[in-house]
Amino acid sequence: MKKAIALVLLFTMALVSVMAGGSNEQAATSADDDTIYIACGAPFTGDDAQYGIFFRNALDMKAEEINAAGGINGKKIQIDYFDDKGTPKEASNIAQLVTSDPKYIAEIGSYNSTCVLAGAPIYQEAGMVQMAPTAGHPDITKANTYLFRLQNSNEVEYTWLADVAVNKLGEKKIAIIHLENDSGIVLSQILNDTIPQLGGEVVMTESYIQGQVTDFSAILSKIKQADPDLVICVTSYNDMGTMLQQAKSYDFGDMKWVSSGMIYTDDFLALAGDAAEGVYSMTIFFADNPDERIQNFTTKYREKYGENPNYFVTNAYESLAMIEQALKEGATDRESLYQNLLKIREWDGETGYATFDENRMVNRDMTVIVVKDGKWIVAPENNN
Amino acid sequence: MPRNTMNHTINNIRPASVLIEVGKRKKPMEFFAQQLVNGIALGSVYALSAIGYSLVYAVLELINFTHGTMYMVGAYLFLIFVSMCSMPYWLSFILAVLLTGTLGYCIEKFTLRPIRKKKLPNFMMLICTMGVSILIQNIMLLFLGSQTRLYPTLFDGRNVAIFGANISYIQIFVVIMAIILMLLMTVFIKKSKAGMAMRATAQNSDAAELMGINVDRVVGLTFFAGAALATISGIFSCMIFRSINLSSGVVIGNKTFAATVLGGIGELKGAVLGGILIGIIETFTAGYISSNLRDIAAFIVLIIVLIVRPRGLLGKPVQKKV
Repeated sequence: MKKAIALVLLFTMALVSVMAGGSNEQAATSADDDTIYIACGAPFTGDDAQYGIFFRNALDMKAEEINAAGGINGKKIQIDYFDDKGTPKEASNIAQLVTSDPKYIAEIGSYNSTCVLAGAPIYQEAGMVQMAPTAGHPDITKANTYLFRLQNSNEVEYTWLADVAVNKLGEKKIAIIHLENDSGIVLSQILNDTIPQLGGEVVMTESYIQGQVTDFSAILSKIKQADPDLVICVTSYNDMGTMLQQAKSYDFGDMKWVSSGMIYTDDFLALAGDAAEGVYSMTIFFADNPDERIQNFTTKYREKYGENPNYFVTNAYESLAMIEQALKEGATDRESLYQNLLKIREWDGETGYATFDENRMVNRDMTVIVVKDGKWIVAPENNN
Repeated sequence: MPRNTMNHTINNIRPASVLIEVGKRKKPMEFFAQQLVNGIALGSVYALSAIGYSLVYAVLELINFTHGTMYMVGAYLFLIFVSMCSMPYWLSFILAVLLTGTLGYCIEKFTLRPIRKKKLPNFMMLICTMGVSILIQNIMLLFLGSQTRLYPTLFDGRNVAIFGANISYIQIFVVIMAIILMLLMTVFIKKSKAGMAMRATAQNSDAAELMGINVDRVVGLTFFAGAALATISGIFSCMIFRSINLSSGVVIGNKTFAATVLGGIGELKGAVLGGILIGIIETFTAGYISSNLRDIAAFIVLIIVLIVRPRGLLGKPVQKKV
């Protein structure tokens, strides 16, 4: 008797799973008719949640605009969000999930290189477009030939950073602080190679593991001992803000702080407070740029979310805008979307002008900015 | 860029040979003193947290995973009272400590006590504390968001140079407060009636109950004290670090565990010693080797001590309760 019941149960289970599979596919094809699905994998919880939220804000805004204007060839856009918590493990799980679901035509994310690299081989195998809005590691486009980057590669950015430090700001004795992760290691190599070539001297290089350190006193004491004229500190804005606040009790005099575009957010100003004064950063998108289109975008975003857009917002926004254009030009599946995106070599988006090379890498101009009276302004040294 | 004159003179008198050795051998004594001060300041907040942790372990033989969460919740409450309700620091401090203490008491009363009453194995309580701390963290995430916030402090960045080391007033303040609290805690445990009840319960809760001690009340009080100490540690360390986010408690939870085990779990003096040692080991590793290795070094020392002396530095030989 028991055996019989077990058999019946087993049979039912098999039947149900077959039916479920079938109906899933059916749902996908029927939904295909009027909706285009795009996945976005980014951190929405955990330490890096704010970056995922920037992505979501931007993508929601753009999707609403597209749908309000009648969609793409009559089809609506729908963005599904997946939380990768900023960890590569989750990012590769999401990649498996997204690529195996035929309804998704493309993926946007994740926000950092480590997570992008974790998903890259999976998207490559599935032949699915992966837009990397803000990842900077030089190798991400090699890891997946279906990947498009909207952020200058670290090589471009950090060579430029070295030039800013030595030539524009005119300081020779330089200390480097970076995170011990994929892009941090590249940063340290590039800066240590480039700065001596430009006539500067690297007096200290120190790295730490993100999330392990809230007490920066040991690092600050090391800076004090090395006595540089300028510190290049490339880390997340929350660590940078914390470090600057702690640095107040070390009497660093007129030593300069320079960081990457990571810290160009309003949250950084709130966190670092008075200690942010005089800190340099650089960005491909400056919200207070007098350019009319950028002003329109900034106003639009501010009205919706009550804060200034930053490059996390603009790059995610442009990622979707590029997909929109590729779809409008007739892309219907993953492969044709890829082919159409490859044709985009010049992009004059709402948030700035960009070019793409044959390796799907963007090249964008950068601006040196500085905090003055609690606000970001274009640094006077920008034109040096 | 005009450089200040002080810097100029230092630059000028520095011999060329020293310049080459920059970052290695310049002012070794000052550097040592600076890192020692940093280590002691960091260690004293670990020690405060470790006392609370150790106390709970002594009474219940429970690894309390809510400890790090209490640290974070308490520190956030202080921030909320100060910056959103504009209350004075002393009042916010007292409120935060009392509220978090009460939360600790409630956690024990509503989640752990039923398990204890059913005489279920101890690891059930351990898993229960994990669950509770995940729950609390996610509720906090819902209301407060994940961003790092600027933390209020005292003596904003002011410092004094002693032997070439920059010691900030807040570091001095925290170390002094930590010493006072540790002394008070010792007196409380050794001299007061409640403290004696705690020690009795720690030794043998059944016997304590037979002697007319209300064990439930003692355990509740212990949780209150544990959470209160975690809060104090949280507020002080965030005042030094100048920032707070929801994962602040996780790191400190691990360090507190390491400190407690290093010093000898269940021993208050051990907790203090362990905390300070972990703090100093961390800053010295970061200062002399690399910040990458600071956590590894702290845990390597812990492992070595456990191999050589399994009961911890000041721990008493283990007598398994049957």
